[in-house]
Amino acid sequence: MKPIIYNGNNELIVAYKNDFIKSVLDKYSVRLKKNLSGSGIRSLWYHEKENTLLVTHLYGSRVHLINLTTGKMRYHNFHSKTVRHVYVHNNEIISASWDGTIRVVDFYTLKQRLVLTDAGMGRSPQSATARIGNKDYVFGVSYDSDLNPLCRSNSVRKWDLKDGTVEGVITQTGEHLSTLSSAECVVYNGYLYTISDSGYLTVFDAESGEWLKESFIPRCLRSLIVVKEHNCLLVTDQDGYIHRYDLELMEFTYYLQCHLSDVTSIVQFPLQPDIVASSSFDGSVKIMSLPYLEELSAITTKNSLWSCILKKNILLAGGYEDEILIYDASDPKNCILLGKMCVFDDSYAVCPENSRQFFTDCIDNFEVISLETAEPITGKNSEYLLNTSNSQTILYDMFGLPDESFNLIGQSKNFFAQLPGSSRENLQNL
Amino acid sequence: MEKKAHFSDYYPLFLDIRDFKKRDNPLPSEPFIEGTSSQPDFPGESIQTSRDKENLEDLIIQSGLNGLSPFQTMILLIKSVFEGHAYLTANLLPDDLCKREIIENHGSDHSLVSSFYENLLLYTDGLKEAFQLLDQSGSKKSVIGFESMLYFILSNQLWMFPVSVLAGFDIKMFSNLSSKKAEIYRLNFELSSIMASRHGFIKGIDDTNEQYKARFRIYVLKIGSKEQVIKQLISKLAIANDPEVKSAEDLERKYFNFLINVQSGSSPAPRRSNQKPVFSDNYDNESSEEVEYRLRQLYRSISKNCRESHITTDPNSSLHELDDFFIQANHIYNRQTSDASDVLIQQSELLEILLKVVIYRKNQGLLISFTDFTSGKMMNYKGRPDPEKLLDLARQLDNKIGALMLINHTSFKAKHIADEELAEIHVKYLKQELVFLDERISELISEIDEVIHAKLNLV
Repeated sequence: MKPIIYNGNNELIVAYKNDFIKSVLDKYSVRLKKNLSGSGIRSLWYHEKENTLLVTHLYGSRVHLINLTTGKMRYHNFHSKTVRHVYVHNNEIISASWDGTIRVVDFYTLKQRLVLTDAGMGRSPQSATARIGNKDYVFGVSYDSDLNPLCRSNSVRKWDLKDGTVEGVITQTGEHLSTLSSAECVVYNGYLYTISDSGYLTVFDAESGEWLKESFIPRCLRSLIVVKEHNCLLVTDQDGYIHRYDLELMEFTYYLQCHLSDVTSIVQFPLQPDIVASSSFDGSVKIMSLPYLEELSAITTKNSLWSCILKKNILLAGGYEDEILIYDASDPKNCILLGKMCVFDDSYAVCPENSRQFFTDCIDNFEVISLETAEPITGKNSEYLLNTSNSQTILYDMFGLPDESFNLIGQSKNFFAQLPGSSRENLQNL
Repeated sequence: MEKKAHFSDYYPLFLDIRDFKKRDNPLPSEPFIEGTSSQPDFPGESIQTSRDKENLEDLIIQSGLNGLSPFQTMILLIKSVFEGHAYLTANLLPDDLCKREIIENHGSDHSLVSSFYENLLLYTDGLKEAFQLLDQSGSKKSVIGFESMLYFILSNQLWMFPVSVLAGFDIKMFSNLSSKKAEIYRLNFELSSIMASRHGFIKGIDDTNEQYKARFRIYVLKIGSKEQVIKQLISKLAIANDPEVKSAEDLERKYFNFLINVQSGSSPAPRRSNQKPVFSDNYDNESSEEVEYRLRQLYRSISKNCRESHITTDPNSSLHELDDFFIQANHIYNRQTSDASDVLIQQSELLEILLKVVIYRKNQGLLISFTDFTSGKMMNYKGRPDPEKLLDLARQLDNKIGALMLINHTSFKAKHIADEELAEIHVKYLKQELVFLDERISELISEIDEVIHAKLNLV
């Protein structure tokens, strides 16, 4: 392998190449083909160690893994219905689906190891993993009333992650307040916290399953996260409210209506733990500071959003539309739209804002339009221009460089080459 | 388009069988004596021989009759299985394996070697059964660790060499192994599996570059030189902006000094004299010393097997390929490395050259020096690679390969090598790029002149 010795002028040559590409593409525009139908975005997860984004669809059953270093996409298709929640635990993908199963699949080989289900288990919207004692467990939520009309609430099952044996089934408190089911759970400090569309937040001992306490809000509770730094849970509901539950007092202490509709997810900024972001069916993402959910900024989209996550300071949000919107949230008060990512069944594309370049693993997703004639270019000319426009550096522009090896390639936004008039400072740094 | 010279990195089964069929006596433990072997093989012989030898049991019997050691027989069994794998997965016959490098991935996601290693589980049971037949046919039953021996052979790519050079290995080194030792063999195989796939990618990048350069040679050269001119002009412009530069003469003098400094700083010191292997992030110190030792031994083996290049001064020598091998090995051995992944790639590359040199010498009927490489000590790391750290290593390598592919525009180049129409369109844009670069060069020259004139006006 040739040694990777950084030559300071390499970045400038990259910039000149980018300038040339820009001049070639000036006469054309590229766009995603209109007949591509996506499947809506349901769940997002970022696996930091492998720099991989996991994506599931509203109307598809695949779990997609997009490696943001290599640009390659893989997927598994073990579920038969939409996958509502996905995450990675100890190099295994754990996914909960409306097919009534939670599946454990090896991250690297995509071989399925466990199928967690039983005869009475209904649609599963979410699961959580916790270590209790010297064992790992999966706590899986399910809408068992789908299968059993006598069952008026939701359930949480506890599985041993080693061999998939069920160690307990907990029935959540209360009855459904809405026809739109919702429930989640989380395990923290040995306690299992479950919320439900019954309005109840119930606390159990995670090891024994003993009921400990419940609190009631007359709303359909949707989603929850633990905020360790404030020793609280943040719980969202279907009416746009976010509630704060104090873990020490074990009661709700505060709430605020942050959205106009269902608050579908809430996440904490990994680098700024006092800041959270929430997504909603009202199409907005709100960035708020703790402890009182003071709004720092709001992102408005045309899309009813199901999920938002953060990859360091990059915020991703997706929902009923096929696009995952990507924002630079390094300044939470001023989030800048970087572009969008579309994930199809067999391929994906990343399109930065205001750029003629893109990145995709399949150029057939795109077409080239001549700016002069407003007509699509076809044939080999089109293929050539698409190959030229297709640049993996776009991936790094949007998501950051994977590691220091990639400093060598420069970034497409570093246009040093516009001489005369280039920044003298940059030149003097040579 | 000129093609680069091809040297095989795999000695197929049919050639091994042909070798021991030719001899009246059982295969000796010494290597071939120079000048006594027949002409290099012709591919046409191979197919019939391979069909005759499909049955592993037959192979064991034949090996026994021809005096091959159990270790050598094991090598033949692995080759047989590999060639079956190559046929099933890539529709390649043994003839074809002589004509392409099996380490390289040839544009796909896997090389033949890496796909074989990844699918090893499919073949292990069959090999084990065959091995048990072999073991029973030996004079004394002992507990030979089959998997450990298999991992050892695969980790060190011994199965790719001509079997005749491997007479020095004794199967007994795998007898009565502790579970800890067996685990080390397994993890070493995992490591070599990681290296095999990444090495294939890197070779693929190099091969794409070579093909691209050959295809668009003139434009690549012209663009390369214009880029060099731009780099120099940018440096010159920066110097021109230096407050100490007040005239064109000052600029030329400073720029000349700058070039001298760049030139004198660019010659790297010989690597091995002043560089310690950077290995502690993945391995303990004992392992890093072993790897260093192994690199030296590989280099020495290659050097000894390129002895003609050290002593021959005849420019018309028919063995100039040995010069190329030695130069490559020298370059790789003295290359600077920054971390464990660099060192391991270095090792893979040297092993590949050794393979090619040995096979070349075998085909040319030349003496082969292999004793340095057969001392068992150097072939196995005592240190225990941590499975988690193996994943880190794989990630590190993937990042480097990703960066290399981007720097080299590998995906883009590959498309324009393969497709004639795209290549024609590409030529059109390469011409445009030349014009573009000329314009940038003119702008830079003008800017430098403006800066100097502005300074002169001030004075």
